Amino acid sequence: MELVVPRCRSLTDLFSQAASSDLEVLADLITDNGKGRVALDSGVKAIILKRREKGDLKSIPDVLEAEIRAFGGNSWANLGRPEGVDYKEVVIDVAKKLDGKPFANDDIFALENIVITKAIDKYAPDGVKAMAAGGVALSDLLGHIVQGLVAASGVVTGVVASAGVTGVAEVIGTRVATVLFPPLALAGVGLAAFQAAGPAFRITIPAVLQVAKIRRTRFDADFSAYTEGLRACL
Amino acid sequence: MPVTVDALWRALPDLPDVLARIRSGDYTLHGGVIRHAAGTGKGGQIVGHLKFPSDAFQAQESIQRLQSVVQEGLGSLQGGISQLQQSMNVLQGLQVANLALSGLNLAVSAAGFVIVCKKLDKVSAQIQAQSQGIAQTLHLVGEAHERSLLGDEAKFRSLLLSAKQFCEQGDVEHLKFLIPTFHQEYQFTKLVLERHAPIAGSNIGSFGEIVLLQDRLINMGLMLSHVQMSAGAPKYGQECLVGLADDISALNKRRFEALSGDRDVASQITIDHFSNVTSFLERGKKIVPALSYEADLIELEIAHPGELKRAPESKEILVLAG
Repeated sequence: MELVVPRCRSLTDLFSQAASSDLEVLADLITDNGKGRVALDSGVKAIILKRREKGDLKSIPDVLEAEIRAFGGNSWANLGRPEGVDYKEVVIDVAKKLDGKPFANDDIFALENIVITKAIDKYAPDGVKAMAAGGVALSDLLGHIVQGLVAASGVVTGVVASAGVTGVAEVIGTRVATVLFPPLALAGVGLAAFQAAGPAFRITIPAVLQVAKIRRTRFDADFSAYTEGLRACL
Repeated sequence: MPVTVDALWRALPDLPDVLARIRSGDYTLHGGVIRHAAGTGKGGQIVGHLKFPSDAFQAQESIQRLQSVVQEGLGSLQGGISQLQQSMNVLQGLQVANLALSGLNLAVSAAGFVIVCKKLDKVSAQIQAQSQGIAQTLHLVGEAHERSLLGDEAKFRSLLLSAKQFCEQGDVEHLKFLIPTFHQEYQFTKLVLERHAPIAGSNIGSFGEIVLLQDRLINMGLMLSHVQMSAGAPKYGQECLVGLADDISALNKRRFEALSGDRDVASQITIDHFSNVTSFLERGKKIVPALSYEADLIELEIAHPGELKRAPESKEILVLAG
């Protein structure tokens, strides 16, 4: 049964209509800002980079989905399943990694909510206050956190070797602090934990958060269309 | 020019000047009256009263013919487009309402009374069948409660049969005694609907029952108006219809607020169900012009007692100069 305001659209469905800027974040994460990763096939990397350059990442939703699921297959819980896992399993893994306690009957939307709550708690604890004050929207806060985590997932190797995790947090804090969030900075302690999370989670945590952001943008659009449909009947 | 039996009533197609002015946007339709359009110097003043054919099929045809006339105006550059659009909306509403109600003169014609009686009885039987089904399925009510439900239903049907008999016999005195009971039934149905309207989940989970109850409310309102008219109280008959239109609009507004304010419920609605919900809300919206038309007819009766009875039956829309 097709729903009017679905909570659990498939990744390909979400990506096929997502904003280019949101998909570029995923592309940068998957390709490590174009530098490539050991676990990323060079042909796939080339496809992603080419579409990114054209601003047409929405035309390869299946490629992006497969890569996210494949990284999920490399996480500790899914070790030995390089073909990738169901996205819901990826989200459950991430939720547990962030100390969340998902219920058996939670749908993807609910699982992502756990990830969002825990991520804000760990990486931007001031974000809740900022949202409550009305100065920051959830999508902006998520974008801010993901931006920081994507940067962290890329710089970790070199910086950790020379400066340790505190240094990582400083480097990243400098890199991602934007004028949009003057009162917010990514929490150094949380970032240190993020660095220690393992290579797969350094990708899947920001990936799940970014997908959650994309999903909520789409959900809001669906809900808005639903509301307008109702309003037209008044 | 062919005229109707009474010189005051004219068939609308025989009034080319009126049609031309509707087409140009100088006149607009409001329920059962033609008015001077806003901004024409006499904005809002009544040009004439309308009476649609009592036969539902003929009413439908006459509305479609008038729609074609208005449509021609919409296609040209002359006239105020917004006024024309308003007239078109009124006609579309009347068209939908005519289909839904099986006639447009339900509150003021004897045939309409019979139609409403039958519809109410049918709706009532459906409600009864559903409530029995729910009780049996969920085992939520005991035998005493079921007896009470049946008792309520019996009282309601008795009320309908009595009203029908007294109306047909012209027994005004006995009819008057039924009015409080009609009010009670109407208000009970309205209260149930009002209780459900602000609950988003209820609008979805109990959708079938809500549709039935709203049908019952509409037909009860029409019936009450008819009884008031038959009892010689057209002012109250008109108030019933105006109140019914207000109630439907208010219920729709509350449903909209509830449904548009609950994301969890929204995320559970299927496309098919949403289509049913919007059709239901639209039906409510479009029935309002029909009720307004009926109220305007009664207004005519208040202003010119006996004029409605003098209006001949016609296949065409009749106009009484204002």
